[in-house]
Amino acid sequence: MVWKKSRDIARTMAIKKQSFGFVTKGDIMGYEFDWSVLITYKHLLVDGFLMTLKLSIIGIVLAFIVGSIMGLLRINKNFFVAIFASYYIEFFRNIPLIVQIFFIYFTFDILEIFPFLETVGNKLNIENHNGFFSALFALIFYTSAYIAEILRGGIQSLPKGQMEASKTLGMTSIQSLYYIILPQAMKIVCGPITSQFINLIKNSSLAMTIGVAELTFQTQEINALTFRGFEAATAVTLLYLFLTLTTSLLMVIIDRYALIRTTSISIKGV
Amino acid sequence: MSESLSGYFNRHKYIFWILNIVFIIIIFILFQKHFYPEANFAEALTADNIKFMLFGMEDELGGLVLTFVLAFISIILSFIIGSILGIARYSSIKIIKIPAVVYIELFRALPLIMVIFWVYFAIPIVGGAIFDMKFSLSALSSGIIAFTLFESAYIAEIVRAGLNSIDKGQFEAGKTLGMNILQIYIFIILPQVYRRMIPAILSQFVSLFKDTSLIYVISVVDFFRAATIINNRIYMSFEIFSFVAFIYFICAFTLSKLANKLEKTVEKQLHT
Amino acid sequence: MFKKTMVALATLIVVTSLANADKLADIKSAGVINAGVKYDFKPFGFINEKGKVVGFDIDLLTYIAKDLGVKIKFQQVTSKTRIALVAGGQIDVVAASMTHKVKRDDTIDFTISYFFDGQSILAKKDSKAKKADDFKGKKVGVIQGATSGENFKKLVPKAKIVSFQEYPQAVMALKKGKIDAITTDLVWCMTQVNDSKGTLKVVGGVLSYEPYGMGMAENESNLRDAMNFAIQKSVKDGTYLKLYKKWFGKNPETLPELWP
Repeated sequence: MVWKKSRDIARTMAIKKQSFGFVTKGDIMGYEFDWSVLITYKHLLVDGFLMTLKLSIIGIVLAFIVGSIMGLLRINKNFFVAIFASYYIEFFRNIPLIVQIFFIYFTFDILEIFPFLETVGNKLNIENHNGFFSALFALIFYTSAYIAEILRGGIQSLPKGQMEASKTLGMTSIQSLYYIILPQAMKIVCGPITSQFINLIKNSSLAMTIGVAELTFQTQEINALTFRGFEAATAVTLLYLFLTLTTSLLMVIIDRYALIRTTSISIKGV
Repeated sequence: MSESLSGYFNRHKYIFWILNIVFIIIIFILFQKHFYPEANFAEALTADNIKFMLFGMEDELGGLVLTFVLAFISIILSFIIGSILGIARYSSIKIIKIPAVVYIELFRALPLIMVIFWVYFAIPIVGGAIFDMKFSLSALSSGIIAFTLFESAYIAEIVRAGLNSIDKGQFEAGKTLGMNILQIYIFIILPQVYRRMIPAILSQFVSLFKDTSLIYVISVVDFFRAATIINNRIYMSFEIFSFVAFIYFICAFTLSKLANKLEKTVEKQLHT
Repeated sequence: MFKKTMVALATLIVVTSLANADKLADIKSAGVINAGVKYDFKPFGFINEKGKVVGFDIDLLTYIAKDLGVKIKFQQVTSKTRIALVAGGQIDVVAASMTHKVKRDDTIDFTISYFFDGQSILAKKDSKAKKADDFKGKKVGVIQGATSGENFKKLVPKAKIVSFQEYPQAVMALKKGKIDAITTDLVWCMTQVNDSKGTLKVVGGVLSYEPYGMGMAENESNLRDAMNFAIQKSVKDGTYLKLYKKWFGKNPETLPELWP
């Protein structure tokens, strides 16, 4: 039966003398590509891109700060502090991001709890305050849990001797963390942290489910207005590619110039 | 004091877990009393509702069962495709390597929602137009295809990392024994790579399990969608979404603990 | 459970034949029609306590499927996705409280209008607004993809439009005071008022004329004829009246047109 179908197809194709190739405006057997919708609706794409940028930049900065704090708390000597941090990490890692977004959005009224966010939102030209900040908080919680785990792994992979040596030199815990441990740990975890930043940028697309007008939302919007989903999706794909490649590039630059250089970090047992 | 406490708990793990559960329940009750005093769990979580969330609509696969089935099928398919891609990425023949690189980088840069939209909306239209055939994908199959395409890029990276960690000497030894490249891969290299990759693949499985909730956007009735459908009818979001978060947490947490245990067993095997 | 998995796997990919073939013939030979309905729009399509999808659209489609002699399979659509899905062929017909607009005829075809509704506004009981103009500068919720948004923007340009993905999110926002009103079709507004136990009310009367039509892919005249005849048959033998009374509680003011 499959053979018969494919024979029919081949026959029809031969009769119609197909040509394969993408043209800018014209059709491929019934689907007319119309790339001009991207120009007519470019304000939607620009708005979406800016919204994704806002979510991503604020999210990355805050997630890094919170994640680092939680990561350090996780390896604290105090049992209760460590348990508290591990509750946080396990809780926000194991619940899917979309569930967190919905929970925060539908259960809390963010502007009631944090009134100052209204002014922040107005400064950033956001219309849907509740949606934006619910998505932002969920993104920060989720990503910071992962960053905390990564940082913990990075610090624990350093030889224990480092901490002991710095203590014998008379440094306090905080001093040894700041001068000795963290610089090396940052170098180790730079790669995985870059992945988490890229994940945050991609996860910002989930905000569309609660109506935040970011890039993926605009794909749907253009599709709903013009039924040209393919062109819209192509444009948005390119924009996401641009965002992720730029982030990777920025992190590579930071890695090369800002982080210390160490030659041999993981010599176990020394 | 806290040091001896952690030592005590390490020895008596069951007490630790029981106390954890009690503590979590207490915190949740306090949270609920403060933020949402009028919560009514009995009305929201009736037997009918729970059955709907776990099993979906009648005559159809749905609910939590569908979530597991989806994750399982996708991880197996993406394991196969990802391995092939990873080997292609690792090889030094340009013609095989470049398409693999393009594929991996493309799917790692796209959000999963976009991949789902591409597969469900865009591909049938354009594919049908190119081949002059109207074909359409059901929502479920688009979901599986989208998850497979997406995860295989990640698995390919894991496979590549595993291949990098294998000594080149293995390849040479295989060649001296007279095997061709396919035999070398199947009998010598891949078994070793898979042993090393198991923890990473399992963590991808857990992550995929959580990401199946995204199939919400193409209206497949999985666990999360079922919960939102009920929420749409009775508008009791706190109760329902707490339940959803709770179930997801239990499943993902258990899976990742199992994965950790498996990783420890494999480590022991590798190093004896 | 095994059987369910097998059934689910069997419904995975639907490959229909060449583009020139007739959709009605395809449906009849397959024995199943794929219908798209809404799952969250009372009373046209929603899920009841038992987990079954019910509603006016569902009942009417079941009748049509029986008339065509095929089984029916329902799938969820939203205002945003209903046209794209039927144009792309994933769904054969869609009956999702979709207004027959001239602009939509570019992409899909419609049956005769089977329901006549109008747009209205839903607000909280204590809202002081009496008509549409009172919402100047206030937040009004619409659903992405529905006609109500554009209509309202034309009527009251100064109103702030907030787009939602689905109706329940809009209702929850309204109940919590995050928006001041929702604008969509009158029947839905009235159903919400009935369900809300007195906390919501309808404001402003009917703002526009919204005839609903069922949608299908472009240029499928056999299918369109069959569906038109089936809808008219339901009016002629009284089923339409029965269903109307069942879901809306009163007699229809306008019936779908009947051809001799």
